[in-house]
Amino acid sequence: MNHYDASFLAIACALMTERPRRWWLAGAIPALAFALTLLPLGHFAAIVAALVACTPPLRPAAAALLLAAPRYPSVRAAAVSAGLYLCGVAVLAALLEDRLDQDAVPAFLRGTPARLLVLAVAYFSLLPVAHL
Amino acid sequence: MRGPFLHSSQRTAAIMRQVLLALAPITVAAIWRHGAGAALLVLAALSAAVTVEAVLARASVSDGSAAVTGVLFALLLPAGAPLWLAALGGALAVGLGKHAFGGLGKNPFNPAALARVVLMGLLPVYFFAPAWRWDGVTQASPLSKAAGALLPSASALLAGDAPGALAQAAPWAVLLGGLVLLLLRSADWRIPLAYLAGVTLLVLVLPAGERMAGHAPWLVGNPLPHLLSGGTLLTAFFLLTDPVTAPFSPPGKLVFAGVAALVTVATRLYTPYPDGAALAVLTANACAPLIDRALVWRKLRRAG
Repeated sequence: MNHYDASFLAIACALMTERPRRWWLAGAIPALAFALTLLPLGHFAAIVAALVACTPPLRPAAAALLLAAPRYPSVRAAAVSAGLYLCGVAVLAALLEDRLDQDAVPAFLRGTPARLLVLAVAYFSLLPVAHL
Repeated sequence: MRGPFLHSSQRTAAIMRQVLLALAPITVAAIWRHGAGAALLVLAALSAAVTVEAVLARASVSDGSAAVTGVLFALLLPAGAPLWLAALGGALAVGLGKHAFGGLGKNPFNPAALARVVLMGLLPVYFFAPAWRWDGVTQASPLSKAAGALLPSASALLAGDAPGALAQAAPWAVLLGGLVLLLLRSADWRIPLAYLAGVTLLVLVLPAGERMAGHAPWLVGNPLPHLLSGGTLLTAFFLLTDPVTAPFSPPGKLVFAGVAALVTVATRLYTPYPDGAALAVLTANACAPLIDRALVWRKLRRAG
């Protein structure tokens, strides 16, 4: 899983489940995961990052665990991932709440499928970000 | 509560007729330049869009919105695209871009741009060929960062004498269509003006990306190829001005156009994608509710 896919899964997770009050704290995870790769931890870096993602302030946010999963090759990749997660959740939450009229959506798409559709469109729209 | 709460007195059918009128010079120019192939692409996208509209919402076929979506999608296609791609895109634009979200007025994204971006993600081979066939010769787009790309002269760019999508066949025709749209008041002038100014300014101030080093130096600090190539003009006048997917307030529209300009230029300068106009439309569409929220809150806070 690359960092772009991980960010989108984290966004999906934050939007599909009950968002914790401090959802934005998970935005620090990519930087932390990258910093851990600089330490001589080998494969344990991912495990430590996962453990940090499960600390009490972040525990309700499964998004944090998803953001800890990929290996960030550079500080830029970590920054892009964090930015994508933070902006993605803020922008798409407003879009889903203010513009997506669930009553107007066809019955078979109402609810989660319509939300996933919006996320899929966002995923394709922001694909160039994966190359930054 | 969900907006929009302000309604124009102009009826949908009348607005769509005006948009089709404004799209006419671009379509004619594309057919004149690319021949019968372009006419067939427009016809395929148009008929697929109208057919899907007839199946999903028979009552709204006559308002012309599906026809506008079909034509707009066709104009975003490369001139050499297969007919089935045009038909699939026209159908996707109306089915997925419009009716999956509740129909006309409920769609959060511009349907034509959505179909273009989804197909670009699923079938990149038809949109990212390293070079385009042009007058029997294989050439790269002026926005391409690949080796072999060439910068056409300013007059060639203005005449549309460069490979690209159907809408790029004649930038002057897009400008003419855009002016018609503005004169008929079917589009808010702030959005195209702010978007084109934003693209110009950002191209002038942003540094070169490492991907273009040695390949396409003319893309840095030179707004002309950015304004006249790719989907910039069509985006400015026809895709971003869709009132359903743009913010409601005038300052919000300026911010919205700024976001679109930033995504367009950043995609062109820092990613392998040759053009980011359609992607910018969807990104800006997604940001529209947040922009509205931010500006409404600011206003409320000021009011005490």
